[in-house]
Amino acid sequence: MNSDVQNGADRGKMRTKDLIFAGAFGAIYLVLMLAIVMGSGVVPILYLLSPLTVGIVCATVYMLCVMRVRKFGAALIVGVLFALIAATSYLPSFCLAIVAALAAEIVLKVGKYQSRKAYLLSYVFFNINMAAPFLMLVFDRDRFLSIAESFSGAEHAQVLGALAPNNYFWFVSLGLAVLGALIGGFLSTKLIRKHFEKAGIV
Amino acid sequence: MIRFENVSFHYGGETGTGEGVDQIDLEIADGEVAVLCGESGCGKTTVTRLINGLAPHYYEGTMTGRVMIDGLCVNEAPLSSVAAFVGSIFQNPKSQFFNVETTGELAFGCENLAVDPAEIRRRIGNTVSELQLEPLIDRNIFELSGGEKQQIACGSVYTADPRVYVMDEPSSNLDKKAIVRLHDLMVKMKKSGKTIIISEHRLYFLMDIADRFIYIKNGRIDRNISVDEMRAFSDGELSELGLRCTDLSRIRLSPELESFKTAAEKERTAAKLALEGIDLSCARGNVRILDVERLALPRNSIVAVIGDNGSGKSTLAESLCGVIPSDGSVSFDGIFLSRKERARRSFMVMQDVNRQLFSESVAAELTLRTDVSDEKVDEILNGLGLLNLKSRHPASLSGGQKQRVAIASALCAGKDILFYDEPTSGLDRLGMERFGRLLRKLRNQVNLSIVITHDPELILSCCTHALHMEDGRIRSLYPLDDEGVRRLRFYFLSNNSESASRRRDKSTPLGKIAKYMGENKRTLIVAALVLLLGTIARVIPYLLIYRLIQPLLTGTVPTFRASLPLIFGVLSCEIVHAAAYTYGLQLSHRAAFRTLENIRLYLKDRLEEQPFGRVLDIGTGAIKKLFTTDIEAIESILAHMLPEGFANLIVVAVVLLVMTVIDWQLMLATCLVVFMGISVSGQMFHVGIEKAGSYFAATKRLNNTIIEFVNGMEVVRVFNRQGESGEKYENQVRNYRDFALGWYRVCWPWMALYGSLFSTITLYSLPFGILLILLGLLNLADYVLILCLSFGIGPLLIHLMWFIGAIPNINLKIQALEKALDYPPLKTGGADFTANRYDVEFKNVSFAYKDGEVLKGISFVAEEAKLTALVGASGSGKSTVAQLLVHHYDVSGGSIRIGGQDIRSLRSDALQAQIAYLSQDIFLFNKTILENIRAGRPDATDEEVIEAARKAQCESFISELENGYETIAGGAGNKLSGGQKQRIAFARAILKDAPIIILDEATAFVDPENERNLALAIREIIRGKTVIVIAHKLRSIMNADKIILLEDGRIRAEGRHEQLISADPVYAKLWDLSESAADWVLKAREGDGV
Amino acid sequence: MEFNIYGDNSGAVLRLDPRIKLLIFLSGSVVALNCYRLTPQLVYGAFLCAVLALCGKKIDGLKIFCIWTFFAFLRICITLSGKGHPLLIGLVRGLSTLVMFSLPILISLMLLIQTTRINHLLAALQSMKMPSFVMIPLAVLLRFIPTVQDEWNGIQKAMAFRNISLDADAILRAPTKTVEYILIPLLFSCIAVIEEMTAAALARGLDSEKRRTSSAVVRMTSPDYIVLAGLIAVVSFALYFGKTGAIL
Repeated sequence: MNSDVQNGADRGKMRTKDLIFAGAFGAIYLVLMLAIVMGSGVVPILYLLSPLTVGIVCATVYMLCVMRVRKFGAALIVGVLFALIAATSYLPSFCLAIVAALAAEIVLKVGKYQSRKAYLLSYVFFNINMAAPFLMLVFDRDRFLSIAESFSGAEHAQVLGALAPNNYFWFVSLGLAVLGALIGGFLSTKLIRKHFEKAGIV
Repeated sequence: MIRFENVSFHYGGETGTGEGVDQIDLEIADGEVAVLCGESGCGKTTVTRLINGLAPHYYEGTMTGRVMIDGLCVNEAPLSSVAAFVGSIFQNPKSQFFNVETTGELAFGCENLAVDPAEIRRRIGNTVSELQLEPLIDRNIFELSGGEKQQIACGSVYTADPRVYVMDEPSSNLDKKAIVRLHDLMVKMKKSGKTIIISEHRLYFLMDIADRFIYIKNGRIDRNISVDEMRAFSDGELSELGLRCTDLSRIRLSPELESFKTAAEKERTAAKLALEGIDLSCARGNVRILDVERLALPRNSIVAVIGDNGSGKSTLAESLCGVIPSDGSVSFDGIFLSRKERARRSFMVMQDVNRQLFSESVAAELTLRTDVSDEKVDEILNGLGLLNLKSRHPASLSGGQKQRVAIASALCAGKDILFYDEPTSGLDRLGMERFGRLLRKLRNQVNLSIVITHDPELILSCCTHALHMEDGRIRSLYPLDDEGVRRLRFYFLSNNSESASRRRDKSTPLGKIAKYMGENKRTLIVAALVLLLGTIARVIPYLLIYRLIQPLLTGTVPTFRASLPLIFGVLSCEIVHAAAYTYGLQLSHRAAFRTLENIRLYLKDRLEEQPFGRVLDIGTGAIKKLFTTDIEAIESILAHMLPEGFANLIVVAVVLLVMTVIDWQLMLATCLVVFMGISVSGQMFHVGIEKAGSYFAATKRLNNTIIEFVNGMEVVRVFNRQGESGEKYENQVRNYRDFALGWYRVCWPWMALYGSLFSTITLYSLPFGILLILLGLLNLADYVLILCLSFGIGPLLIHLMWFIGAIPNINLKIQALEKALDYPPLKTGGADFTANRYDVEFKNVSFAYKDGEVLKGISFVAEEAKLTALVGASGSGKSTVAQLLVHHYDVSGGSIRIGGQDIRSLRSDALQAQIAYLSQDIFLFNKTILENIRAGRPDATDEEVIEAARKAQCESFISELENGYETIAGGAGNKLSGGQKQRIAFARAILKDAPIIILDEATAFVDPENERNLALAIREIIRGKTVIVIAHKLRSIMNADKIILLEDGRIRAEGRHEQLISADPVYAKLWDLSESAADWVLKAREGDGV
Repeated sequence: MEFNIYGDNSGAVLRLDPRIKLLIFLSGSVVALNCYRLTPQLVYGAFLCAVLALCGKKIDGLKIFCIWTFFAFLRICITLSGKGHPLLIGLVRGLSTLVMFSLPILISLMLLIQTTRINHLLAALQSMKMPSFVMIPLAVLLRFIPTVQDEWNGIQKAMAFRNISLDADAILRAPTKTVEYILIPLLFSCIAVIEEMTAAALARGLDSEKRRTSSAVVRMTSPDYIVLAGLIAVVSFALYFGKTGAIL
């Protein structure tokens, strides 16, 4: 009795071991992400740069996960776990993170879990979730102005609103996320070829 | 029944490891214990995976044939249905649990199988008590050691209660006690009819459980070996099969090791130290897990670190090589080094080698961060048999190969000191022997090798020293000479299965102090509130001063009338401040000293629980220090730091908030300064601590040298060796000077920076504030107010920084106190002595002190109203017998009974009332002689005391004393001779009139005139009692009712003098020796007389 | 960084049902989205901190409450004073937004993870009929976060021996090399652990078709209902007054 036959029946669907793999890689991704964010949190500017830095460092983790599982769901699980930990405080952020992970998953499916370009592109989508938590800054403007208004009147609030242009900031972090994903993507291709293919892991 | 029908399996999937197996035909009956053995990579593990179904369901590959368990075909049925009756235990403890918490893990298997919750809880309770897992339940798995995790894994499978157990090298991370427990567990499983298939390299613990051994070679079953056959194999035959030893008591020191053992002996005398650690301690959370006073390891030695799971072996190694923070100082080759420098010069081959391989090929791994030449790389690789793997990726190698790559990388980097963390766990005989050879070969290339291991075979094949750890302390360090091998073997063979795991106390330092404070807590809180008032009164004047100068800012001239109340305000604030501080500190000191009292009482109770022998071991000096200096250190914490720190913190916080209202930007600037101050003081603390370690070590060595110098003065003067001793002293003094200066040199710049940063907190807000004023963002009045406030909190901040820096210190102090006396207490019961017989029975008593077994199973009875004598060469264990009887120590095995009652069940005073113990050293209280004798029975009348003294032949010398019975003994005890003191002790014993008398060499060192008196006294004491005499002079006991001859911790012979002297040559020889010695004394004395 | 993930609730006054904690977790984002005023926010925050403190994390609850109040205070001061450099205002405001937005989620996460035994949490999820593709990744995540930390600690030690530094200047000098030195051993050893752990879990019947039972009893008790009532009151207060209410 050849075991491959039995496993072949439900190929393409996540099995228990794939779920474990995705969950564990979600943990690796999150710990690295938190380490970078908290490690750089001491210097506020670095904190704002985190879509870039996390994008570069975590690319290999993401790539290894999806290249190993090659089924619909791996990227989504990592994405949802990320959203649960990092973006639940704000519903729009949470939705954006989920949508980004879903988009990444769809790109992979379109690439039939083979194409290297699809892997890279899917990571670009995936890494947008790093910009998601910063989305609250956009909406915070209204909130801040509302606070200001209740304290010192509408006129004053308008002056303040003009002073602090937080909206543009979000597009900067989105750009950083895409840039980080591209750099990280290339780096991960290099590392995977250099190490994981050589050692026979992928 | 398990049946393999012509099974072949070869790995093909992504998760495959190993080669697979071919044509396995095998039947294992129900209730059978089958051991799979063979070399690494032979296919043992694959067979276990075929039984539990992981191959082919998880480890994919091509398979032919069937594996049947009863009616179920394992390779066709889904994994979960196999899991219902096959329980698996794996080799690697860290990767086989799914939960993060131990109790959840125990339930895991049952939960998957949908067992009823109440039943799961019942089974868990059962498992916990049977496997001694109590200290491990409800804990975070990540804080357990590898062996402890493995025990949880066993427990988890045991809870699921399967019919078949499949174990893949379960013992590889276990200590010897846990192996005994695993063995006992398997016995239990076997008894209840379970089938066990176990793949193991260690065979010795399976010899009495196994039904047969299945020897696998190159993926095929080579032969079935019966237990008797296996037992009969000589070491050579086992070696041919690649199997490890089957009986630990047969292992011998490797012959190759013999040759350099003598060399080691020689070098030990040369005493060149490769590594020295002083006052090492290390805490995890709030628990101290390492506590080493001094450790010195000679050069070119290979030291085996042994000890139970969780005894601190890895922690010791890691703090020695500087990868974890620890207190104390460590020198390599006589030079004290910082943590970083130590890590740079040493290397550890970790248990998990995967973590230390960084590169894409073996060659790149070796050249990483070193500039070693290619030839050298090839040479090292060749030496380790890795040359053909040079271009492979390290991750694609086998475990043993990865290990050697790590060693090669250490050699390339020119490391001096190599550490190995359980290098042979899971290695077969060949691998173990190869590793031993490698260590021996590297011995002269590196300064020192330290091997943490549970593997006695490895130790005896390559190590020169053994270092025994116990509960974070060094129990002993000995060279592996004949005596050392004996001690080592004793450790590994003693059949103790008691779990050494302990629960960790999680309370914070403040929580610990609070425990001792009791109702003083309230006093301290009141003190803190009063001090808060005082601190507020200290800041308010600055606000008043602001009010004073405020008119100036608006250009008006301040009037006297307006100023007067303000000035009064300042004055009254000062008065309030002074009064509140005085009262608050008074309160806090009261609370503090009462707490100290509580701590001292608590420590006294703990001290009394300890075995008396242990108390002597700790030493009076250390105990005195504990009760005085160490406790005193807590006083300043309680009286000053806590209440004052609290008051300062609150006031500073409030003032900062007020500043925020006035101008948030300036507040941020001030906070920035505060933050910088904290980081600078942190930096100072860090830098200081590195150097402080060697400074304190130098202090300690200086102290020791001074003591040695003074103690040795007499010898030095007599033999005129002033030079050598003096030189050593001078060296230490010089050392001390250098380290002290080194420490200050590092700290000075930081201290200066620190001082200047804080004394001038306004220096930073000043320019920034002016900038804000110039920009029109701040008005002058606010600015001056903020300046005033800054002046106000400046000194508070400095105080606060000081307190924050001292917080880690509190922890250390408390830990030191608690750790000092946390040895297991003496086992005493609450029973009264109720028997009416007074015979003493030793039943199979064994006793181990440190690593040596002093008594090895002694049984004898000392009958009532008879005299029993213990004789033997010194070190044979005579005195130990006496000390065990008076319960100075607990026995390690067996029992001691008085009149049929176990002494461990007795209350300590109930036992002491039955025994009068007369030893060689006598302690006299600093009281009158009358009172000293009365100590034997405090309610005795003067007449009784004098009567006892008369019986003990004391009368004559006491009457000659200046004040007779009223002479103060104690300090003036020097007036009394040894024999006279002895007779006072006898008088005490007579007064006490205990039914059992122990005379421990009571007549040693006594002159003949006293001897006659003593003999009379003794006769008086022992009348009608159970008497045990320990004697060197055999003539004095030749009339004893029973003489017991001890030799090397065992009873050699027993009987009356006449029987022994004719029957036992050893006794006869002892008699001759004793007689001739007496003779010699007599002759010498005659010579004196001439 | 210590996550303390195994759920030590030894010092707790309240032992809440994990489902209440999940509800608290979810309420955070609703309040964050709909509540613009400081007072309702502070009431909500105080409630969360109080629950955290009652569940055994007294010091943490107090600490977080102080941080929260401080940032709220700072914002009031900034708004009230109406002065300060725009750039500085922007920066301080951005950071305080991130902190204040993240705090509710931090508290609820601590409540959910640090004070709840994982098997209790899973039992609660199970009673809510969560499918295995939700349960397993979540359980593995919680199991693996400390594993990754553990591996990372080991790798840092290995790095010390190999003279690989993680100082800022070393990272800046060779950023890609540093990333490689961190990732390679971490991923290799994690993959090894994942494989063995999967094998062990499967051998103990994780993918069984049967419905798992749970040894932990998870049940709503009266304290749960009291906290639930409190939560509903506080959240509706926050939502009602949050946007337009008369109170600050």
